[in-house]
Amino acid sequence: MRVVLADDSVLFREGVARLLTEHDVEVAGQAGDGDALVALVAALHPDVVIVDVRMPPTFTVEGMTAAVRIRNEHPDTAVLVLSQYVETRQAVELLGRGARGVGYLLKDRVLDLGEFVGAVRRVGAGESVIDPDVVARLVGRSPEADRLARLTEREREVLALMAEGRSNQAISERLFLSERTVETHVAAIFAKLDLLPAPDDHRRVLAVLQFLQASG
Amino acid sequence: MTDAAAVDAVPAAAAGTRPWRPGLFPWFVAAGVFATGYMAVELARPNVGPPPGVRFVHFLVVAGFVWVGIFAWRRRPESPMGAIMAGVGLAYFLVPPHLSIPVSAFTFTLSNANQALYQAVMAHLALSFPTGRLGSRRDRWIVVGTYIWVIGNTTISQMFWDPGSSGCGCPRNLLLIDSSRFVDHLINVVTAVIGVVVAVVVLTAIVQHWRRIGVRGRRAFWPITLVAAPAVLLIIAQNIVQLTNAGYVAWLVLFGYGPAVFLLLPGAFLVTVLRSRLDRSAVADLVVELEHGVPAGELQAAIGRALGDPAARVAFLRSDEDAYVDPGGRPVEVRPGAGVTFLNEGHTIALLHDEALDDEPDLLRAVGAAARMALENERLRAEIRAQLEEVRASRQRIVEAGDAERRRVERNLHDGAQQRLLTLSLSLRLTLERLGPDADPAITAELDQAAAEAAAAVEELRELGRGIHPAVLTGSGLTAALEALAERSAVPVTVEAESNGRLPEPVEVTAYFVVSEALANCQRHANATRVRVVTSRSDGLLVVTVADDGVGGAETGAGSGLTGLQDRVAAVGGRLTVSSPPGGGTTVRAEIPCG
Repeated sequence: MRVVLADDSVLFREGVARLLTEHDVEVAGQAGDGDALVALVAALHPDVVIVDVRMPPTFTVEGMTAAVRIRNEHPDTAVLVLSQYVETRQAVELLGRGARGVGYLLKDRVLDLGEFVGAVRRVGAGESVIDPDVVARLVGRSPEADRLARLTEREREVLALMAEGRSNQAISERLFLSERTVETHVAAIFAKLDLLPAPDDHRRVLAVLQFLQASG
Repeated sequence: MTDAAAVDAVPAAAAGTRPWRPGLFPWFVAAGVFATGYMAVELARPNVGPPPGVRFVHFLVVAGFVWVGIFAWRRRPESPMGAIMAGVGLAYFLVPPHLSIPVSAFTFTLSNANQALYQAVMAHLALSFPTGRLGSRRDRWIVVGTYIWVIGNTTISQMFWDPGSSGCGCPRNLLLIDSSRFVDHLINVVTAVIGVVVAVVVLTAIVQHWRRIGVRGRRAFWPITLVAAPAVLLIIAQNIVQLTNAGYVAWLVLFGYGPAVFLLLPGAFLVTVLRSRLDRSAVADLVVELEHGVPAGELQAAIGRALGDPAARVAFLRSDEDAYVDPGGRPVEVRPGAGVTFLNEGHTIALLHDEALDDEPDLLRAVGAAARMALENERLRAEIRAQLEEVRASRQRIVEAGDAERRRVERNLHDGAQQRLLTLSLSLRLTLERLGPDADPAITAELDQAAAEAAAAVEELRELGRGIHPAVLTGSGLTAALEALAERSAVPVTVEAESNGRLPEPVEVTAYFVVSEALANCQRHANATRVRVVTSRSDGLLVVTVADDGVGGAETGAGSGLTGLQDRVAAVGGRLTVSSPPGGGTTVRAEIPCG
């Protein structure tokens, strides 16, 4: 798996590069701003791009703009966007396009080394990854969204983990439940949200996202 | 205002404040006394010279011009107009019929040689009326030309007129050099033709003069408009009749009784002066109007009415700048001189009026005195308005500078310290990982602790930065920032935004802080179960409302966060209202101009 990194801080980039290399992920290139990143992607065709939202010159949403551009121009390249603060609207905009291989994480998540490398791999494998904070906020808001209000506390937890792209097994491990119980919860969630269950994890996430987007 | 000088209006025309040749005045009075006295005595002598009616008309013309002129001189010592008018009377005294009982050959010759001088003085009067000063270079040339023509022409014609030939038994003509009738007749023809031309030129100049002066000036000019046409026609007729051997009746009409029309001028002048007195009643009207209170902006029109000059304008000197402005605050050019009257000593209030009003300082003074207090108020109002506008602008600049500074601080935190701490924490984690499971547990525990501390610092800096300036506002706009606020609120919040379009930054930042503070208040005090945030745009206003279903009774008194919000919204020219009836929830509504 080949990765290209984009962040205006060289030290941070180096740190992430070291982390990925040590976990057998090849870092093919690094960029300091959005334009350089787009050029690198065109030249190197990496599997995954990891990009910070805030980059020169205006330090607002350059990374986001570059990410959207790469999604459009190189659909085979997965994009993992890192942000120093969570913005649900941004996340929904990025992930809500129904595309494969998209991730949106709080930048701090790199500190959980194993989890982060796992997320990079999942995105590279075509899954979608959303920061737990985003999911928590999406689930936590919209008191008028009656359908979400139908969920129990436990079902919300399961939905949040589903939204992170986790399998039933992973959820059962996280919540110390049997896999069967998780399956029951998932079925209940789909029923309450008027969604048809689908066998594929990835499609589950998209279904959840589409619902969240609609309710947000 | 105890200073008497400050109570008087100050006519700006500096030349108009000094008396015009005061030394001449007694001589004119003496000459007037002599001329009218002489003619009065002559009137009393029956059956000598022309018929008594003719003598009476001529006496009236002389006396009318002389004494009305002297009266005008006394009334306006600074204007030569009175002197010119009296001059017409004195010149008319020289017209032959008055000296019909010649004292000597010298007076006889003097009288005959100046028989048309009054015409030049009248032209002078007409073209310089009512200020006594000739306005244009052309008028000046016409007047000078008329004087030269009249004096030169009569002097030359006298050289060839032999009174003996008419058989009048008159004294000798001292100027006579040749008694040839042919030359005399030729001169009479030339005189008549050129005389008509001169008369037409003068009449034309009077008409042009009339068209040039303003509405107010025409009012003062009307004695001339009244007398100009008949007088000029009379003089033309006199010129023509002199060529023919018209009979005694024609002479009686044109030279005997005709000059009575000249009397219209001093008569009309007296009426004008009386009318000027009537203007005082307009001043009284103004006083009454002011008493009832003239709405701002109407004062100028009221003054215009009192002056009879609808184009009159008021200008105020701004105390902080050396420039005049009109009541609306727009700059006005005020140059001391004709048509400008300062109403107070400091020259802070100027009246811009028709130049003809310079000739009526009494009226200006009265109107100025009546309106000064109101004008002073209006001036202060205009100044306060201007200062308020400046204070408002500077407050907005201060707020915007503060916002810019907060944005800069947030960005430095975000891209500086926060990023470095994150990198540090990552390095520690990588080191920890590299140490592997066999490392000294004391070291790994310490490193783990340090990495966690750094991560916590990142989190704290993020919170700190958000409080200073929300990055999401700069990056994604107001609606995204309000949604972010809503997501973080403990009380469920719905955000209804009309559009996601970007607004000017001060507007977005202000709206954001309104919602942020309102939500914080709501969480602290309102005990609400839900909050509704609505933004909408209409008529150049961004309207933001934050309504909760809590206990209400919120106060905007001192120390309340809502007071700070009111200041904040006012700084960008907006308005914040809080409605919070006890038990009825709290609604905070901000209207922010957004261009």
